[in-house]
Amino acid sequence: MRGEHRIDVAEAARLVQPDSGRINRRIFGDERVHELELERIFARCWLFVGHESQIPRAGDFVTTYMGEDPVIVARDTRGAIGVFLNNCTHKGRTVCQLDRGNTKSFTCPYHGWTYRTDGTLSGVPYTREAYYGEIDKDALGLKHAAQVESYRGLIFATWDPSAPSLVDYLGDMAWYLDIALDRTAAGTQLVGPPQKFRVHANWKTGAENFISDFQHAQTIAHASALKALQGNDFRAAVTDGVQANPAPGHGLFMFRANDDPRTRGNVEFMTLNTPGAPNRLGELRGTGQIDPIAGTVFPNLSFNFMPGIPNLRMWMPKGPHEMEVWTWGIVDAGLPDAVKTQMYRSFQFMFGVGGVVEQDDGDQWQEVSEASRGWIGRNEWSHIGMGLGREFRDPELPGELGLLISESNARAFYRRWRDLLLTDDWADLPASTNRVPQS
Amino acid sequence: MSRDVAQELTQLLYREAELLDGGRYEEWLALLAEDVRYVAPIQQDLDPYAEAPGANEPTGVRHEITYLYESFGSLSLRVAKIRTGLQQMENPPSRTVRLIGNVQVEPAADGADRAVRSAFLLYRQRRQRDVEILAGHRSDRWSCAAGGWRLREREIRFAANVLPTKSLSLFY
Repeated sequence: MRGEHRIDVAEAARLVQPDSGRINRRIFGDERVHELELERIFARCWLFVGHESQIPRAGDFVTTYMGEDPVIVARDTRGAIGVFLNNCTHKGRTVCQLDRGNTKSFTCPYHGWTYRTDGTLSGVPYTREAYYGEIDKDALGLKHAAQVESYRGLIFATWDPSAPSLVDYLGDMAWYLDIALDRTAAGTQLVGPPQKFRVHANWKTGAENFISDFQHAQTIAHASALKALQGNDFRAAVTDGVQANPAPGHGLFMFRANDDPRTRGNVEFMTLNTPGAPNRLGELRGTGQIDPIAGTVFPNLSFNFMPGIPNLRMWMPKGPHEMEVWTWGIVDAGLPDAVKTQMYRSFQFMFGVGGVVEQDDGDQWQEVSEASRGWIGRNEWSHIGMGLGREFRDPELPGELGLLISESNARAFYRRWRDLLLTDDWADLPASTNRVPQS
Repeated sequence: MSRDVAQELTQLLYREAELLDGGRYEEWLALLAEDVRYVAPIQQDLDPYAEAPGANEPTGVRHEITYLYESFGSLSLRVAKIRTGLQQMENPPSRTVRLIGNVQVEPAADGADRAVRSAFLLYRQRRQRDVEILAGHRSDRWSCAAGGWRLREREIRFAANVLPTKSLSLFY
């Protein structure tokens, strides 16, 4: 049925016109566009599925989603991490019902097919009596993700065997991620379980917000929180930082330390807590001169790496009009428990479902979906033209830059979205979503 | 346990619900002790028959991982945030109905305090069609001070795994 009503790929791709600074609102609500995203983006890209700290021992597992597909992330008896579709090869029921745990095997609750922690099928009831010993168990293991790799503890997986390596996929985004992930030898750990909550909005509204939108925090959306926390003088200058898109579809916005104390939070935090960081990351990144406020790893992993409140979040698609937000604290594994505790408490006070800042976001995104349901509204265009044509470079920072208050990263995000829709072969994908050449 | 005290505290929970449904947040704050501990732990689906369910959780943070971990100061800041008039979720204000039930009052370990357990259903309606329903249990400790009963501790356990709300911006 859906197949007969597929949207033409070229038609879908025309819905984003980043170089004209506009995106059509159908991308936030059209079921056919959503189906295309599941196939062309979520079934191909590297997706965050967990952190090694969540599954330290053999048999440890967590369950999560890749796109709308439920998956199990498990450490097998040899210590290898596998990612499997949580979908019994017998009748397709979810095999594991738990958020996490430790197990020797996964038994489907429907007919009792049993899988090892490496996803292979170990037991089928009536193997001898009713299958006559002829069932090919080796061919009936849980479906594996095509590739599983970790970057500094963060586990990613992709269904696409032809996808580039994770390091190539992240490109220069890793240079920025390392400010939080590689500033100490012990690396990071998640603080979980995640907060999970449902927002009646398209997943891209969150991903776009975190990659590019400092504007909303400085005007009205978070004014109630910032006024309550900081008084009326809460606005930073547009020159207090930049946004960067260092690799296709990925980006972040950041303060750069200057005389304004608001830009120096990471200087204070890293001086106090990670004094060895300059040896690992150099002066610029190791002393907190860059404060990565928020960013997105394409398509749907976002983060706040602001000092003292770092967190990761996934925008889990649930149809075009709904997403689940899953968010974890992420802390430096080697820091004292007192500091980790303070970081987590500060994060949850500011962000997450109860955070005084984040509690103002979900409703904005919901109302984008709500206002775009009608025939007229859904065919209108949203404006992402702030700073269009004003992108620039800085020899110190990888990627194309925009002002802290701009939408250059949103444009880069949608260029990647469009390119993935249009291009079958990773080799044919543009190597960059930048418009200003590297000098 | 005096029947009068049990009835008094039950009535107080109803009164509290009325204050919150009415957006009378300053009056609600006046019911809290200055050292109030107000937390909402995250619910998970774990194997209840495992030897140590949850044992593989990354450690390092003291106490349980929560949606809310509040003090009198942080709750007061949340009220101040609403009173800026700019809080998205409360302008226009939510219309809420809190149903409080299954109230049980027992002596707390600490002398004159009372342990009060209750269940709640919280219906929230915003604008024309924005509806959310949260359900859960609360475990409280109330102390009797000069000015009457004050809430010293509240632990809120929502029934949901994925919270069916975009924001825990009310009080529970």
